[in-house]
Amino acid sequence: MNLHRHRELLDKLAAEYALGTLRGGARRRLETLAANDATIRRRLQFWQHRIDGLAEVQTEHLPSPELWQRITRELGWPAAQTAPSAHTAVHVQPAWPQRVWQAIGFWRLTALSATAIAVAAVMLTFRLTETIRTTPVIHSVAVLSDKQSQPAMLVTFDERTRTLTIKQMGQFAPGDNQTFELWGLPSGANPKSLGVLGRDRVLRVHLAEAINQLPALAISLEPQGGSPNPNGPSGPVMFSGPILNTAL
Amino acid sequence: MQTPTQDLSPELVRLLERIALNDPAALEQLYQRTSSKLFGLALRILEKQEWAEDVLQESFVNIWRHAGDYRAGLASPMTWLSVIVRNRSLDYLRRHAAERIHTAVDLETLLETAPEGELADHLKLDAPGPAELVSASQDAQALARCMKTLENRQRQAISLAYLKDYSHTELSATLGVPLGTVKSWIRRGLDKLRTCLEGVA
Repeated sequence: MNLHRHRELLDKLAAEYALGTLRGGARRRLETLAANDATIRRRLQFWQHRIDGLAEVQTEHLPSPELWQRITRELGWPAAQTAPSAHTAVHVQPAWPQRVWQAIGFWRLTALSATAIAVAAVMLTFRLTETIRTTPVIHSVAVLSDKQSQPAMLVTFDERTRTLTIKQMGQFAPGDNQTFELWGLPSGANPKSLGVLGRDRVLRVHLAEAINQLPALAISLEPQGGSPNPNGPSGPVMFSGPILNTAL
Repeated sequence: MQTPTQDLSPELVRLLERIALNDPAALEQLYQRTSSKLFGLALRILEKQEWAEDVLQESFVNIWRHAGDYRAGLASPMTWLSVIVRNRSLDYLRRHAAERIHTAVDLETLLETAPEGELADHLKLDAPGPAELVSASQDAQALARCMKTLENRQRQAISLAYLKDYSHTELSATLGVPLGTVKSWIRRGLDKLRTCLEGVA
């Protein structure tokens, strides 16, 4: 059926989709239609944004004062540098070098597994290429993880050839007529498309800009041919991660 | 009448940008601005202080790691944060599925036994008042105004479906009415919302 001609039906389906009461086969069929149809996608987005407003208008409650400490502990921040209460009005911002140190500390702890995988992979890359004259010079790696923090893509950057290599680590693939698109995320600017991943498990991209212009990378799910929007993903971001400098 | 609102959006967007650059002070400020709002949401879905705190902790760790994913053009920062907390809360409920069945039974008993006012208070199904609207985004405020035009039953079914992720069947069991009735409440409620929202937009 052509949902364009049945605007009211499309709205009914999109609203129940956003609410979550459209389930099972009907939900999947609408998702398939939306993947190939910008009008349907826009209507789903309209309803999702509207319905999501329901989450915003709930009565406020104060969590217990210890909760902020629990959060900073989980993030591995030094306890002494956090304010005693989450609700103190006055906040002294830590000095710049401390903040940087905290950030490094954070990455050391939370990205431990990711870094271990990345370092192992870099070492492996080095070993494989030892015998070859053109040893890549790799000072930058990234592990792109899904929303559950499961590593999914391994990225290395060769300074010598300015090549970004993206290697898929898990067994997953976009659906028919869909594709993964790689994005560089410069700070303070729109995401920059770096290419579309085909069916190959490895993608190589030549990078024009300096790697430190792109502090993070992300991969979104897009219709075939990539996002119709040049300034960013049109579909959901599946994997993302910061670029880590291994030459620290 | 306009509710007194302070548009927090620009400030929250700036905080999220700083968080994306790993600035811990920005996360702390974001926590100060939004934690009671987000905790209220988690508590509404999970109904247990302890669970809601677990989820808020997970959510803020998640916000620290994924602040860079926020796109200002797509949703207001408060909506983005609320959706994270809602999704995490629902994940938490799924992980504690056994307890969830328990909650559903409690709701059912409550519906049968509790006085009208108490029930509304427990389920917080009435349209949000001015206090809930402070710091809500413009879109959320428009939605809240339109929710007020629905019949109580419609509003109740739609709120439960979204906040608890209940299916038609679960709603029918929780509210103690036939499946067909639930479906028509939701359908008519959403129809009314659409008409109202298009009038606003």
